Amino acid sequence: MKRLTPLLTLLSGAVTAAVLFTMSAQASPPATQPAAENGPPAAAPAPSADAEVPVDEEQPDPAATRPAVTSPPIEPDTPPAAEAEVVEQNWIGELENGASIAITIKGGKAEAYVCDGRSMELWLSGTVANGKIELTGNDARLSGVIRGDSATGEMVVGVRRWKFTARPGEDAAVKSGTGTAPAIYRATDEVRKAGIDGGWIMLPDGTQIGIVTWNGKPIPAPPLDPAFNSTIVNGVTITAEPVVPGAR
Amino acid sequence: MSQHRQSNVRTVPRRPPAPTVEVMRDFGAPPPSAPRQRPSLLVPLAVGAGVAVALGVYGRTHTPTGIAVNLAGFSSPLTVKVWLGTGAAFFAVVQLLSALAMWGRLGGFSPSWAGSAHRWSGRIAFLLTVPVAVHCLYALGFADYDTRTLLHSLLGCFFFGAFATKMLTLPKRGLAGWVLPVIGGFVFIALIGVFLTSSVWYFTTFGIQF
Repeated sequence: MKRLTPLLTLLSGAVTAAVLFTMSAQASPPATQPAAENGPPAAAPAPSADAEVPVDEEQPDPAATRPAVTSPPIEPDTPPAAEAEVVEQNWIGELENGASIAITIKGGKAEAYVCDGRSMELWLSGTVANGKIELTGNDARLSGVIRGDSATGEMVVGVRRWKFTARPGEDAAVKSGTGTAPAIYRATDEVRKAGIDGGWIMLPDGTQIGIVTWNGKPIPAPPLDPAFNSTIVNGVTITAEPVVPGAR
Repeated sequence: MSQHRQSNVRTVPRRPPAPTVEVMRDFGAPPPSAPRQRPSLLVPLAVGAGVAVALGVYGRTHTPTGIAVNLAGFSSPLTVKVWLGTGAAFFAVVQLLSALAMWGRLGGFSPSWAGSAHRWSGRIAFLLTVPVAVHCLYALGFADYDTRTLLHSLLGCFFFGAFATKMLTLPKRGLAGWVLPVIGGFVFIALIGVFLTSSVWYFTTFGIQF
């Protein structure tokens, strides 16, 4: 018996590891969206201060990214503090060049994030009125129209232009009385002051696509941990916040 | 006096029911039946190497998810790991001290419970490292951004290999006296190295956080 105890120690360690691996596999969304194929990436303009960065601490988990969690969708009796963390609608789609675009709308204001998950990203903000989307960003304009359940239009960056199409991004499970979970996340002010930026789009299929600007260079972003809205790049924790239009 | 003590001390840790075979080695001379076969360390070493390499290869090839299960009550997955790692390092120090006591190297301080203390602190330390390793491997992978991460990755893989070797070596009887201390020493050094390149780095970089 005595001789077995070291083996039992090893075995219990292995079992613990196996359990944790299984739980981890369930806690994390499927692998990140593969980076978009060819298509010349637009320049990655330095992130302007366009995006909204709400400062609320409490926020509902973006349930769409947590398949393992069985809890019901955000209940109507969510504390009012959480109300700032929901948006009216998200439009999520693609640009001609394969990059992803997400437009999030609240109270007539809109914020958009375009990124290819590799090297190109763009923040835009503006308005949506009467089905017309008008957004501007750093040397970029985006205009589109919403018809039924599709939004189409084009984005002009410098001298280049790309068409885009997007569809409503909400997931039935996330929909609640007050709105839908945010689809765009951006590194917090604190992180950005430290010279690191990051943007993420929560895609409807539960995956994420994003870019972290590290030392001024865009690199593919690892997905955010839905429990903490944070991820780790080169050993540094980057915390992100949902982008909610008009929360500035 | 001191000579007697030396030979008495070096070869056998104080194990409560010392098997007869080991008592014979107490006298310093090789056992009478001269070239008695030492048990082979091939299997423990091979398994340990396999574990270390397998962890490294998995960490390198598996796409890091950035996400793994976490513990409630901490501000980020990193702080969870940092504190689990600190706990493991604490028990590693207990390991070192209890091993020294077991082998009579702490002066006269060699209590009979040193063996149990050694075994249980080791189990606890090992179990504390497991969640950390799972998070590292699953969420971050084998990294070589800089010397620290590379060293950390290498030592982390090495630690579990060395630990497996230690566990598989323990049940073998009739080992040369230096074998277990040496393997245990490698395990200890690896764990402390992992601790220095992670938790201590974290504390010195970001301050003490929970």
